Amino acid sequence: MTSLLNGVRRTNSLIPLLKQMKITFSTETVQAAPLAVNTQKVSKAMKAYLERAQEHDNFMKAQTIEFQIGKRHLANIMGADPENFTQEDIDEAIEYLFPSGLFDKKARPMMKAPEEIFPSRKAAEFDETGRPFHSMFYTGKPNFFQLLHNIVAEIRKAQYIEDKMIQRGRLPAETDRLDMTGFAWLSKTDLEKILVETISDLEYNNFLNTMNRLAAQPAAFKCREFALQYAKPLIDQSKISEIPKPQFDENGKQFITTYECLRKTARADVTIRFPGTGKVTINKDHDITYFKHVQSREQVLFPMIFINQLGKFDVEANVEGGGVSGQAGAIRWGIAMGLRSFVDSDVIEDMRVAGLLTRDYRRRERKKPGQEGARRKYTWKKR
Amino acid sequence: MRVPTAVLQRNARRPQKEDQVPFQELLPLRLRNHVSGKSNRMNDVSCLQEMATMFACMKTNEFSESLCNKEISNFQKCYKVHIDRAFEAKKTDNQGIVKPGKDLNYKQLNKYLRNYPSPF
Amino acid sequence: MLGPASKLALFRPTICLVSHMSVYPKNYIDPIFKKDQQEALKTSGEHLKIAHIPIKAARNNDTVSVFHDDVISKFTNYIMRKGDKLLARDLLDKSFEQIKRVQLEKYNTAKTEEEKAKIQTNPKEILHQAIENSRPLLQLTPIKRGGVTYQVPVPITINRSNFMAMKWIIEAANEKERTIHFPQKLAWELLDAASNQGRVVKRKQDLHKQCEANRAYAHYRWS
Repeated sequence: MTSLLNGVRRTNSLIPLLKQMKITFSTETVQAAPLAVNTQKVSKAMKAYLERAQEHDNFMKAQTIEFQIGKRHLANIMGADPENFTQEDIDEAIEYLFPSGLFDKKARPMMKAPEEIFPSRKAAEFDETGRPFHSMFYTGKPNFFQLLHNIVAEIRKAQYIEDKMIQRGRLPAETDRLDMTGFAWLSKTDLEKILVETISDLEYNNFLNTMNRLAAQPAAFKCREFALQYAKPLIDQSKISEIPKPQFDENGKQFITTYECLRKTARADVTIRFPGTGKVTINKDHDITYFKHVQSREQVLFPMIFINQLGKFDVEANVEGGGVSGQAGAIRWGIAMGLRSFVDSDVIEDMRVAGLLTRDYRRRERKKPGQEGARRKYTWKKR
Repeated sequence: MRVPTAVLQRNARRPQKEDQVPFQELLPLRLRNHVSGKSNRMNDVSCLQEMATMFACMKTNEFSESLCNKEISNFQKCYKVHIDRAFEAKKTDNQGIVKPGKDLNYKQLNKYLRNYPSPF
Repeated sequence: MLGPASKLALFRPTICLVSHMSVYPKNYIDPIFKKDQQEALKTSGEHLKIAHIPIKAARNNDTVSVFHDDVISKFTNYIMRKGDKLLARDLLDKSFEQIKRVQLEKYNTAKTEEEKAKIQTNPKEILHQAIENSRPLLQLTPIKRGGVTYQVPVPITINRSNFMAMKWIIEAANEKERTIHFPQKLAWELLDAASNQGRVVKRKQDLHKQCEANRAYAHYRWS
């Protein structure tokens, strides 16, 4: 079984090697050493680089072979066809053979192709005499600083367009702006992946500031294509989960049941019936007076008051565990989720903005040792 | 009897001889490329004038607020403006984000000085 | 107060100095559940931006019910001891009932229509008025200068003055004889403060007088 997981987590051995590799770059890994190199003129740096590249290539080759063998073994263990064993099959098999309860998914056992496990490295960025190709080579982070230069060039372009507009007697309109609604700039890790360089927080902040300056230009609409290379689209939040279609019960009423409504340690399932009379049934034989707190009752009715449909739905809820407000919160979430099937998308968006469709994952914060409670410290006495 | 040394000397203000007292450059003879942030401590004293007029009005009217509405609202408006300005400054100036203008924070000045250091 | 726009920290570089304690990730924003606030969002066109931002869950004391009032819910929380909100809310409801009784009695004994029109019988309005009347404008902070502690008058924010008013009202209601119950005393204090008299308003005026006496030190504050 040990050979099975080879090629899995070997990153440690590569890290010191990567740290040496500061000189080299460009996004692709070098597959083989360049062939026609004049042996007399090769500089020391180039020689060292070629050695390292060779070493890396051999290492990757060995890893790939090991991965292929491991994959075939795994397919045989699982009784599947080794030729058509895909990555999804591998993941499934690993999860089955090595069940793990570790919280962080990255910490669980995995088996991936070596190209995914080991980060890509830069190819040689200097010729055989040791002369760098890039003018910003000696900054240590040429790709990053080149990017900053490119952004500034785009800013100049936008300013030029704006000047031209003003010369023609037209002020830039709102539509000439760079509209970045629905996009966010790349995160630091994503940007590092693109640049194949590690950047500091300060440098990432500089990137954000420069990008924001570009986006703030009054006539930056032509820079959209450039800007989108370094932005990722945000998901429309209301379209994340699918809305179920209501079913029909024996009386011809529409109904929808939401299971697994959780809040704190309470757990509920909630059924909504339409058309109804506003009747609320909790745990079969209680009405809303199941809750003694007025606040909890308000919570149960909150979604229906919010969409102005109080008294038009029947609610049946089964709730267990937790305390009063937890149970009320669980039912509130269940009702709100169920109501989505009966209202149009604008109202759903309103409900989302009102925070009714978000699961409340907050829990009681634990007491810490050496403290009176979760945050409060003991009274400090000098002596 | 002791005689003061200054009386015995022919010329007390005579310059030192450079060959006898060689010049030592203990500190670099140019301006530093940074300024200290000591003088930039946020001055929180504001609206003193408004406070004084408000107190004067309140004292004459025996501390009934309904008769000093104008002064009170002036005072509160002034404080609100002050708080808002401080909040804005916290977001921009105090983080050293440079902007055009002459009243610069020490962080902004340092940023300029880093970009344009002393020429020699 | 911050509008929702200023909370959109999406494109803003952030430098984190303290650890993030919230369960929600940083890009989550507070829920906007009040109808008028949602309308304002739509008229300003900000709802298009919010469409891409996840929202925190509404808290369990938020609601759009007509019986809900922000000031009352805050006041309940200040009355509350050791998390017993059921009791706190019960006490406040009882004192509202007392207020209603007293005011209705006044209303019914009033002779003319004009007198009747002057009497406020809504306990919610009376609470608002009471808090408004007992809000201080300044407070005294001790500042040490050259070994001597000076009491320096300092302006306070609206939130702070609201808090102090509510705290004073509750403190005044707690100072009572054993035979009188808290809701009864609270009702009296609220009625007194709403008509701009009583102990809480006196306390506020005393504070103002002290501030006035110490006005010479006003320029000492710096922080």
